[in-house]
Amino acid sequence: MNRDQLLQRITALDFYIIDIHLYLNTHPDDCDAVNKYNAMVMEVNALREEYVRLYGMLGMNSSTSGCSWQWIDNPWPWQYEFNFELAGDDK
Amino acid sequence: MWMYDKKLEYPIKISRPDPRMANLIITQYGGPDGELAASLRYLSQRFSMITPQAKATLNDIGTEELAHLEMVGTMVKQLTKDASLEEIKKSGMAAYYVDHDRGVYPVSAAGVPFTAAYIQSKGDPRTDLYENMAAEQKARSTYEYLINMADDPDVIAPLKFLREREIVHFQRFGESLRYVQEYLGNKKKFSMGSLGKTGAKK
Amino acid sequence: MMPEEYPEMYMPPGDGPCIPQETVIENVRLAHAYVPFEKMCYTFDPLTALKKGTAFPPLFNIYGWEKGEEYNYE
Repeated sequence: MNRDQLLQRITALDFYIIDIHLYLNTHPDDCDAVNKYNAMVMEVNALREEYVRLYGMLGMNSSTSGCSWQWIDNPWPWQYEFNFELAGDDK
Repeated sequence: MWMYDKKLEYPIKISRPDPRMANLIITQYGGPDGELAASLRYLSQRFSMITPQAKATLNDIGTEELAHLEMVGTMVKQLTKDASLEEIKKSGMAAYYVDHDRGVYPVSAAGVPFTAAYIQSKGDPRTDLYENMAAEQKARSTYEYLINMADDPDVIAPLKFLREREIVHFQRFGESLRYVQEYLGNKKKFSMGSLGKTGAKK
Repeated sequence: MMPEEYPEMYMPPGDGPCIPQETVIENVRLAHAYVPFEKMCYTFDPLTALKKGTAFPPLFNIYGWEKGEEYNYE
């Protein structure tokens, strides 16, 4: 996957995880949901490792860096160039 | 505590400058029903919340609102970054420009600076949850009005995303209220005023 | 909303259709408001969820609003 595709996949998975996370906060006994959540977390962690290896740091405290220190690198997320185009137009 | 994840929750890629729209969208940055108000409200209220379910909900929705604040600020920046002075003059954003240039500053669409008067943290968990449910509806309405004012699909898409989040948050606060109401309802059965906060007999 | 429409399906245990929410609330009390609990049945796949703003089909635009639609209160 190129950077945009990988970032899209990670963004989508992370979002899905957030929505299930909020659901679980009010449904703590839905174990099927917990299993789904855990599976998605495992999947996204693998993709994040790949992104960090190839393209740059992601988590503030959980990503490794090359030298020189990559965290400061442009572009930052608020910049146009950082973002990918969301595939499809059924927005 | 918070760690920063170096990406947006939802991608924002706006190619066409539009200071008119920026001047409206900024209301979800510093306005009465915006994301700064939301995050501050929930992250403040969480200290007094009861029941694990409601505490987690306040903590985590408050956190998500910071990500939304970031999205709104990003939209304002991308909409003004390459706008010419002429476009700014014609757009209604001239007054903001003279105080902030193309910087992002927390004001409402009408130019009123952010104030904590937009939020409440009443300490009463029942009261706070109703405040939050109302806040989510107000934010949803605001996003609808903003979408009505917009014409660029790259602007409308993130606004629609943010609008949908408000609906989901409302649902979660409503569910939290169920836990809080039940807890308070049961507590009342066993407490006769002389019992302390932990329900232990004095 | 049929499960066939969504590639990402979470199959709930047991047979019979999965109803994605509470439909009856008991012991309702005066001066108390109740939002029914959602129940997770089927979810959108992550990319669809991102585009729509939620992983939960029943919550997607539940008020049925469209751009340009203004509320006519009278």
